[in-house]
Amino acid sequence: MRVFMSRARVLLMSGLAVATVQGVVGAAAPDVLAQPVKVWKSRKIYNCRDHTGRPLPVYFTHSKVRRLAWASLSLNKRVHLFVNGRPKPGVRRLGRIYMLFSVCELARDFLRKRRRLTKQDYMAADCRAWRRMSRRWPTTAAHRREVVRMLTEFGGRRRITGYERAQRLDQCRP
Amino acid sequence: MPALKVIPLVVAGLATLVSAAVMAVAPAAAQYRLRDVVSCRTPQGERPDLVVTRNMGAGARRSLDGTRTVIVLNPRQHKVWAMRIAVYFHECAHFSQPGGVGVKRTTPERRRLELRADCVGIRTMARAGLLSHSGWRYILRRVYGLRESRSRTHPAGPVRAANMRRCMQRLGHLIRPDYRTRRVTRW
Repeated sequence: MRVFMSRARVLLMSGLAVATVQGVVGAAAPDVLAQPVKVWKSRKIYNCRDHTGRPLPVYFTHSKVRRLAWASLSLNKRVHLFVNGRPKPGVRRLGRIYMLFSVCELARDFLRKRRRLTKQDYMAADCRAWRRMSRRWPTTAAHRREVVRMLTEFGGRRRITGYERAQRLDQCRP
Repeated sequence: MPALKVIPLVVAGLATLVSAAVMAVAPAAAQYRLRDVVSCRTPQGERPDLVVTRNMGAGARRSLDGTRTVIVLNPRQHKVWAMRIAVYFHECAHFSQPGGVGVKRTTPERRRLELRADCVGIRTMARAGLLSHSGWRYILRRVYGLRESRSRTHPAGPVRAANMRRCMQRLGHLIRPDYRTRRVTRW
């Protein structure tokens, strides 16, 4: 009995120790999405494929323009995606990744449908981008709030406003 | 979608580029094909895509996965075709530099490579028969007035202009005289 009790105590203590170590490591591990802008260049994260599975090239820029990510058509009719790495107040890695995902979904839509995109296309692309992001990382309500804030500020002014996109994002199905 | 906004601009830019290139290249047509003159090739033999924008600076870029290259041009920045073509050849020259485009470099190294791209670009333009006397004077004047970039990667205008002038010192015979004035380049 004494042996059993001592072994049980050892097991319990080791279990507690493992749990403590896991907790400490978990607390110390940085939030992937909240890292500063400097470590954001990674080809694994910023990949985008068109509807046939061909990779769409993603370019890093450092431009004065307001937009964070956009798609462009070259003279030989290829679609290029640009991500703007210029530091902006309050914009972190999460926002840039989300904006690129959203533009990627729009570009796929454009290549598949070959027509002018509408407000509904923008909204559907936003929902798909958020779902893709949630599949890739464990996102929280704070992340969601940050994306909504980003969309409101940088989400566009003409075809659709950032405010409209942010409003619609709340109604996306999970 | 930004891509859709760019389409009319792209079509107009293409038409203007081709017509201007045809006019400019006419004397050299016997030596060069149009495609060879106005197109840029990387050392690997690939042709960079051309993206025409109206709200970004010009630049030579490589995609993050390293598979594609692109030259971004902004015709709004310069009204004179000599300057536009010079910018194109400058960006093209970046691809032929050691290590190419998309490599992390120190600031002094980038400054040196910018001067090198200025030199190679203007020489390529002249060898292609696209540099006229008035165009050359205009380019020098515009480059002279440029300010040093805030990140200090691009040297100040006087430095760049002096560098370009030095590059073309022995190649003055490649600068085409203007049809009307028949002036020749004097140093």
